[in-house]
Amino acid sequence: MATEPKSLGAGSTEPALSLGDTPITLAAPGVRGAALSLAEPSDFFALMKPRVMTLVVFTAWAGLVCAPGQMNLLQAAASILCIAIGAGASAALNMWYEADTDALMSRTKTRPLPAGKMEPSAALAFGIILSALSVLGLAIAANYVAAALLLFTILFYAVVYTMWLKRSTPQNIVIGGAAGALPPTIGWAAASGDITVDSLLLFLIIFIWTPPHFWALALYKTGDYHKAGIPMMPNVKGAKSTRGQIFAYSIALAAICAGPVLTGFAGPLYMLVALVLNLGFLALAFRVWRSRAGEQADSADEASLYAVKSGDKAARNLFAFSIIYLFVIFAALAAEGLLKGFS
Amino acid sequence: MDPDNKIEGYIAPTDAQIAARKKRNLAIGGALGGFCALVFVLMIFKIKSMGVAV
Repeated sequence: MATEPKSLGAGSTEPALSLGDTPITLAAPGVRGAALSLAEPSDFFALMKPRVMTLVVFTAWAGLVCAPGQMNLLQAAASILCIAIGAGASAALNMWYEADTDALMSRTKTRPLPAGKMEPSAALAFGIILSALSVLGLAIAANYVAAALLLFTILFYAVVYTMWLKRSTPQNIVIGGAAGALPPTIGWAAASGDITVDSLLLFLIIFIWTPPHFWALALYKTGDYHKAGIPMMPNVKGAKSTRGQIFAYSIALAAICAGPVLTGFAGPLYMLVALVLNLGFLALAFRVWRSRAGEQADSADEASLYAVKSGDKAARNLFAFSIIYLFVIFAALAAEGLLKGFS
Repeated sequence: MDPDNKIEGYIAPTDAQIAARKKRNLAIGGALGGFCALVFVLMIFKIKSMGVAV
């Protein structure tokens, strides 16, 4: 049976997207009101992945307060704002490029582009303009080192990860994780104008944290990624291999977390917090390793990030804990940075 | 308007589209204004911190 194109009333008469076998045109010719978009500012804000942005803002702020340099409140706030906008810009570019696969996954099909709320070109322009403004703003608010790092991060996420790695290798989030790991280093560079071993340790904590975090999610969203044709580790190497790798990365993460203590950058508060958190992380990763998580096809077809069948609970628990883990470990680092500033 | 001057193929926007456009325009205006103000304040601050009288 032939399917009529869905009109989404957003302006163009060109078919821009398809939902399965259903082509979507963003307007029907001759229909009243077909020339203007219905997209509202909130839809553009949704393009910036605000939830991811909170983690970026927080880790960048932690990097900024841990850095040895002095920065006044106005410059610090402006720098954090620019880093947040840069992260949002790269997210918008990511959504522009991935509109086709987003339409196929339960978790992402309600995003503004697959939902037909705006034209892809609007998202692209939004991403490019915000990228330029954020880099320019950071150069003015802080320094060129931080601005160059932000530009590198945006390009790495949008081009290397989104356009190249994500659809071509199961190591996509391992290598691409570098983009998400850079915000504390950018914050550090904004305050000090420098990249040091300590700021690279902050980068490494997030870089090594990323694979177990995303693979835990991928274990119970295997069906979703399979539908979209994205080669996540469980789809390519299988659930058992992924569970083993999650545990291996968790051991590496615990080792990396010792770095700030060994270099003398972090003190007893961080040491205690990192010890407790890493024991928790290792325990949950061990449970995932020993579980059968990821072996049920289509185990979680709901849009929720946390709804799972019983066999996948271990993976869901690790995913949820990993978010708290990152917030708390950077909170401990930031608290020590602030205490140093007062003393 | 002179009926002879009617634009061919003109598609009249709906009320919802006009409202959405107005919100977008306000948001763009606000964001640009905010960005200009931020750059201005940062510039003044940097110039002052270099010891130049403003």
